[in-house]
Amino acid sequence: MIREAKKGSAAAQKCLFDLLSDKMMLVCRRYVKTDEDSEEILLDGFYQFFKNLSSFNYHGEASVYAWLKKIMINECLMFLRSRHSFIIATEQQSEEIPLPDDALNKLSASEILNLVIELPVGYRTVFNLHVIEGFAHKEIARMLNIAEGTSKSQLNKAKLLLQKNLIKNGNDYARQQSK
Amino acid sequence: MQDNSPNNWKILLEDPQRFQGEILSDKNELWERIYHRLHKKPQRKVLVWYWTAACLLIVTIITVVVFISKGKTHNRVVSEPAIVKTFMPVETGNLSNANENNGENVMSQSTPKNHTAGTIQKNNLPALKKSINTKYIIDSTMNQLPQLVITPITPTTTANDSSAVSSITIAPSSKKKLRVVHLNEIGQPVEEPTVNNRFAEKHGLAWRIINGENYNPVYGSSTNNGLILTKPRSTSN
Repeated sequence: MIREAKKGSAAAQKCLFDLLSDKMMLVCRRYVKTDEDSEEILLDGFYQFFKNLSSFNYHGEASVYAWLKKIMINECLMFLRSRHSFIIATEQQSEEIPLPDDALNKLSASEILNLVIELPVGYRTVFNLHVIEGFAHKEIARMLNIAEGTSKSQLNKAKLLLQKNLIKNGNDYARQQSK
Repeated sequence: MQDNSPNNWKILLEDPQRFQGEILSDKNELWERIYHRLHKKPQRKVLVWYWTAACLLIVTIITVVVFISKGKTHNRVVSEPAIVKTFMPVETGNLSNANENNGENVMSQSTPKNHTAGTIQKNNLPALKKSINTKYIIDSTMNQLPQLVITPITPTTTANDSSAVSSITIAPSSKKKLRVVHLNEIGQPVEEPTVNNRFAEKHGLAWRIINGENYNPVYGSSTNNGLILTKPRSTSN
């Protein structure tokens, strides 16, 4: 399929889009608040993907997914920069905060995604990059052009806020379940 | 107890099946948009760039041609001798006399007062004279042209000495630069005299007699031929 898509086959490209668009949409929605912006970023990302597919070396299905995900994350970061909503003030590093243990179990995926989306843009971006994508603070600092300590402090604040919201939503959920 | 490691978050947020088909509203519409973006021909953009490049090329060529032609004109004007309105050639042997008499029109602005070269002989001046004769300078604009500076020549220096000639240097004038005018551009156009006018100039008297302008025969006056040519008197007197 990748070979055909490289040749410019529209059918192969559509198959790839159908296969990967849901996962990529989830990536975009984690970084951007509104669905409209997420869709625009998704389109830009797939456009870049198909445009540069000829230079891609196929090393299995995972490599396609990883490459496309990287493209999507870059598009999201570019979008945030272009909207001037991506200013993170330099802050002192604070102590690492653990997330609540049982809160995730109480909520659905959509509710957890909504909690992440509701975070301020700086917290949300650092949280996504570190907790979900698995980037180190050094890499995040380089990607966002911020200090490493700032990245850590942003992550801790994100976790604090998430903890607070998770407990609140978890208790609500528990109350609903008990009723 | 739930494992709350980052991997758990990742599994939760990256699995589309957990969201039960509520991720993308209309995949086909999105695909159409991508397809149009991918397969539309950027012909207009290419044409715009083509025309822009062509226009820039034409403008550049015109600019270069104009600059080259201007440069050529300027060089030609500078290389040509300056213009003469009145010129008196140096003919005297004494360079100091030449400066005082004939060269005044030419070099009066720039010749130093203490310039004396008494021992320069007439026969030794051809080179210097030649160089002066080929220079034509408008005396009315003398103070605005580049000044001709002649350094004082010691009495022992002779004119055929090459240093005497080479000591003449043109110093650039600090004053306002004037347009160099060609000889043909100065003054009113001279009309070519007609045949009658030429004849009248050459044989003025005879021509006037022939035309009967001033022919007044006076009888009784004492002339050899019996004709007196006088100016016609005005009747008012």
